[in-house]
Amino acid sequence: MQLLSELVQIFVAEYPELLLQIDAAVRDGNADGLRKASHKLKGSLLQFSAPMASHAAADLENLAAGNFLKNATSSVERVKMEINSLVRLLEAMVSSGEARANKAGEI
Amino acid sequence: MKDMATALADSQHGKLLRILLVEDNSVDAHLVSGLLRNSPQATECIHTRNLNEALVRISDEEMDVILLDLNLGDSSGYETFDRVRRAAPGTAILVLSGSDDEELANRTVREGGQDYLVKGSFDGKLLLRAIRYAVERKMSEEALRKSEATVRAIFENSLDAIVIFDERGRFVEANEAAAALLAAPRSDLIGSTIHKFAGEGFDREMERMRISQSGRGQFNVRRPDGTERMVDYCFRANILPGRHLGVMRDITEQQRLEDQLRVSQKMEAVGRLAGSVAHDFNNILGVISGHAELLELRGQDESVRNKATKILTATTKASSLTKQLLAFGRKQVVAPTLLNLADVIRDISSMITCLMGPETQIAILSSKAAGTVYADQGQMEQVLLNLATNAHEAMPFGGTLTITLDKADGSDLPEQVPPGSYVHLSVGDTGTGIDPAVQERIFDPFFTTKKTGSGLGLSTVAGIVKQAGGYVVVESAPQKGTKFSVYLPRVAGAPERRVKPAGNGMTNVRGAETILLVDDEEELSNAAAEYLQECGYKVLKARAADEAMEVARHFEDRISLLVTDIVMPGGSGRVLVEQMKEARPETGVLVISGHADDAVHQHGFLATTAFLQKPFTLQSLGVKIRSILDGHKPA
Repeated sequence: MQLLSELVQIFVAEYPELLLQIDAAVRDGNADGLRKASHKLKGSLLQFSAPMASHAAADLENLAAGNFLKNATSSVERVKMEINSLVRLLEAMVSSGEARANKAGEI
Repeated sequence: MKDMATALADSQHGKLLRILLVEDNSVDAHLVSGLLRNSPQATECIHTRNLNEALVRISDEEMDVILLDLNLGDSSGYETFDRVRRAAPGTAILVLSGSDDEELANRTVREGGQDYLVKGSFDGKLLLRAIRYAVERKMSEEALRKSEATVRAIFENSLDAIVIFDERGRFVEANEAAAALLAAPRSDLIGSTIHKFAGEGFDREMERMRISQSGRGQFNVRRPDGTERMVDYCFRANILPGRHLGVMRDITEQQRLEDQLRVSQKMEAVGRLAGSVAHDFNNILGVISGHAELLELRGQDESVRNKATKILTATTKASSLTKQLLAFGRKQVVAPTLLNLADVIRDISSMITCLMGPETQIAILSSKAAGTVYADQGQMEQVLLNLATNAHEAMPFGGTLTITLDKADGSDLPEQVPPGSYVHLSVGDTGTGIDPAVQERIFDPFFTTKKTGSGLGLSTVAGIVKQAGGYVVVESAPQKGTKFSVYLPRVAGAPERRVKPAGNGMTNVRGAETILLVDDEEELSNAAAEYLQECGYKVLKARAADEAMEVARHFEDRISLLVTDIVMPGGSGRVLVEQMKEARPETGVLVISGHADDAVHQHGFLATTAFLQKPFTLQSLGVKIRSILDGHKPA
């Protein structure tokens, strides 16, 4: 639980920057930048075993690899939505885990 | 780099495993570090975020495993793997990727990556197991690679020919030495069969090896140009299924040298035997000729004296034969004198005639006007005999042997001979001639083109001529013949006279001095003593060195001359001479011997001592003794 808590902290601190890079790449038509950022995001999402979020990031990476940036906006929105859900879930997991740990400590 | 076996041993004993994690994603990096930290294996995880930083760490530190993300800020995809692999060829690389890209995964593993793990698909247990397997596999690969490199280096650099062939005898591998031995490029050898190079004994040996599956032996290989080389080989069947190993060593030259050594050892033994027989035979001849001389001198009856003369003539002929034997055995005393080679040719011509046989014509064009040389007569005879023998062997179906003797100087001389005045002896034949390629080597010791040759004949000729300050020149044309020309420096002066029997008159050999005669050959000693007593001398006799000193000790008067043999039982004549010179410095010395033993040569004994070679006539002994006693220089 300690490791998960640390990973969530790192992810929560870093993913907004990755989303900003993704937005900028779509806006600027920078396919390579979009591919790298979405790939990196995908890697992190895979580690949390979050298939919906990681598939969304993978789709975005594939669009960038195929230079289909016109269709990227909706995919970006989907990624953001999945990440929001994931982060809420992860934070809830961490909170409940810590509560259980504290309770166990009190006992 | 740390040895892989050590790395595995370390990991197996729970020691620290050093891991380089190359990952630009903080979440991923933290996850891997965390998984390793929580595992039972002691690990040290060093994290770098990009390729360049990783390459610096690799060059500075030893790592056991590299966990590598392929997509980094400064490199991506296969290129990342390739650069790390080149920088750390001995380190296990485990790829961690966010892409489940089968093609990329296959490629990295094919090119040396130990594993390809997709992020999110492993937990701590799986990761640690993958790391351990990666280390073990890499260790095995490295051990195999080193072993292969070692075997390959041995294979490529071996001086022995190494070949691997299949069931049909087709070469699968052949090293450079094999290409050299078989005189064919390696590229030609691969795919061709070993049977193509089969020489004498090959089939027999292959059959033997087929049955025994391994072993060693000898056979001949035949090169594409038809020449054969003898090889010592080692064979092992099925070093791999259907792959057979053959190692061959060219022993042609070694075999030739061994054959030559055997021949020369045989020649040496024959020579020793010949010398020994000649020595003993000389003593017997001495007894016969001594008594015949006494008969010739004292015989009242004309018919008896004539018979004695005939015996003497026969012993003279026999003596010339023993001289040849001594020359052959190289036991003759080398005593250069002023010689006219015309005399030598004349003396030896009958023997040459016997050697040649009826199918060979002999032409001798010899002139005494050619002049005098300073050389040993026995050696000159040997030169003539060796050259004549060679000429004879070059004319298997007969021909003409021509021996010429004249003088040569100025423009007569070939370019190999420095300017000067020479006596020119030539021996020519009308035989097969000598191949130009062979001519350069004909004077090399042990070089021969004959199946039964010793390779010593011409080298002996060259040695003798060189020792006499001369030169040998060969001219030859295939199927026309060969001419050997010997150039010996001409010297001023007339040839030394041979000691001639002084007829019946004894005045020139008479004396009244006391002579101590020492020889273990009693009969010879008796004849000599009797003769010397006839000449008026007082003769003391002894059969050994110690006995001679005893006789001298008890004899009170002056002993004018010690006449002694060299090789005798109970002490050598040389020691006796030294002892006598010390005890009786006034006593002169005359050494008589059938052959010059090593002691005589090594100590330069004869240079300062009068010497008479056996067999000798009693009269020549008388003349020699008188000459020494009258104060002439030793000769």
